[in-house]
Amino acid sequence: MIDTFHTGMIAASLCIIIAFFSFLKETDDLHRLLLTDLASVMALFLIALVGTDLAEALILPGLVVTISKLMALAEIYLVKEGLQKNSPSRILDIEVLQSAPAILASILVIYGIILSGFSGGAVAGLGVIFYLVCKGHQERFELIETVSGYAWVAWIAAFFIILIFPSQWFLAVMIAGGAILIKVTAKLSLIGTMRGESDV
Amino acid sequence: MNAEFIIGFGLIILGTVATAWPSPKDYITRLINLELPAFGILLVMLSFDETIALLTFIAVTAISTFLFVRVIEKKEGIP
Amino acid sequence: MIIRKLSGILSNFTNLSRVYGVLVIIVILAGMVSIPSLDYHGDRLYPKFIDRDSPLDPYDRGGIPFGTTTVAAEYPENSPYLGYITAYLTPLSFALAGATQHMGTTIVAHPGGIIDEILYATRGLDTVVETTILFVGFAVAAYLFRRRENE
Repeated sequence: MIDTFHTGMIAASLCIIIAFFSFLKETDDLHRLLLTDLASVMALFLIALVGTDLAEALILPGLVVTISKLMALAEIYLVKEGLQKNSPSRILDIEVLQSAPAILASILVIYGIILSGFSGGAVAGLGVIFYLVCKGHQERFELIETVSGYAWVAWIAAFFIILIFPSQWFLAVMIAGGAILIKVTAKLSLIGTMRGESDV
Repeated sequence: MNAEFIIGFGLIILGTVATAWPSPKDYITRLINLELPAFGILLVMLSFDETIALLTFIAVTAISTFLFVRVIEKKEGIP
Repeated sequence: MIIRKLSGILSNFTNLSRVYGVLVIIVILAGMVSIPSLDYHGDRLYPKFIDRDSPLDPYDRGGIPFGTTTVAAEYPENSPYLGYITAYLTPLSFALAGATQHMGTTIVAHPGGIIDEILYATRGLDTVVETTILFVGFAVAAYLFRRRENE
């Protein structure tokens, strides 16, 4: 076990150095964005090497923060370069994104709701993305944002219940599980609407 | 150290080099090479029995690929 | 002279990402030197015991459902109800555990599992900071995306 840990640490450090050397040479911002994703994979590798349950508890929120950070950075990049009005060239025309049946979406959403919590939110969000991409959409952004805001407040409230009144742990865990499910699903469904034809 | 860990480990190192210096240096090559270390880390998680982390990572990788494809399409598109 | 040159480099914000890259490389090199002196204390950080025959497979940590589990945590005095969340199974996950051997992961991802225990009981305000980053990232993306629509 100790051997695995140390070899892994050295390899991860080497990989981080390689990634940041190419980051130094890079001048194009989109290439830098792609390298940021590489760096986040390296960070996850470092955490995964801990190998106990703590590692998993650190990886899950880390993944969700990574995706929301990427989303914000990508949007900022588009605004900064003035590319929002571009009509996208379909260089990567992924067939499954155009024609995937809605049945797949419903399976993912139902399984996500059964899972609940972080993973459930991610799985259900993936389902919602598939559905919105396949079927087109009417933007209801105010709604999505409002729901997501309330879910966030509920999660923070649940957290403080656990911290201050630990005897109410059951109530708090239930609130947190539901709230984070809604929160992550809402955030990911926003990505789904971003690709639609009407916003080009 | 079991087989999954060693394969994953090799994939991560190879994938990092491939992503850091892609051969035709364009966005798509880099994006596809990025899947190599991602697959490596999946195998590493598998070797440590971190199943929930693995499932969530699959979902998040799919979404981040999706985000990058959208940005690249806009970048290469006609103004 | 050197200070003036350095401040010239630092004040040019196109160099910002390069400065950041150099700093990360320096920190990682220092970290690599100290790796051999690090020890792995696997017994302190919520250790794993894998029981392949349990319906809760990779996540069975012992204890009775609806009771308590003895959990090895670094600071047990900070969470007086440690072990309750880990042992709790929702009625749905209890039914799943009885029905099949292959749904361990699904059961643990339910509210009330070892992950929630660590997240809420051990990590403290770190959790709040992280969700705040999440929320700010979401708000920035949503705002920029909506602004484009209105134009």
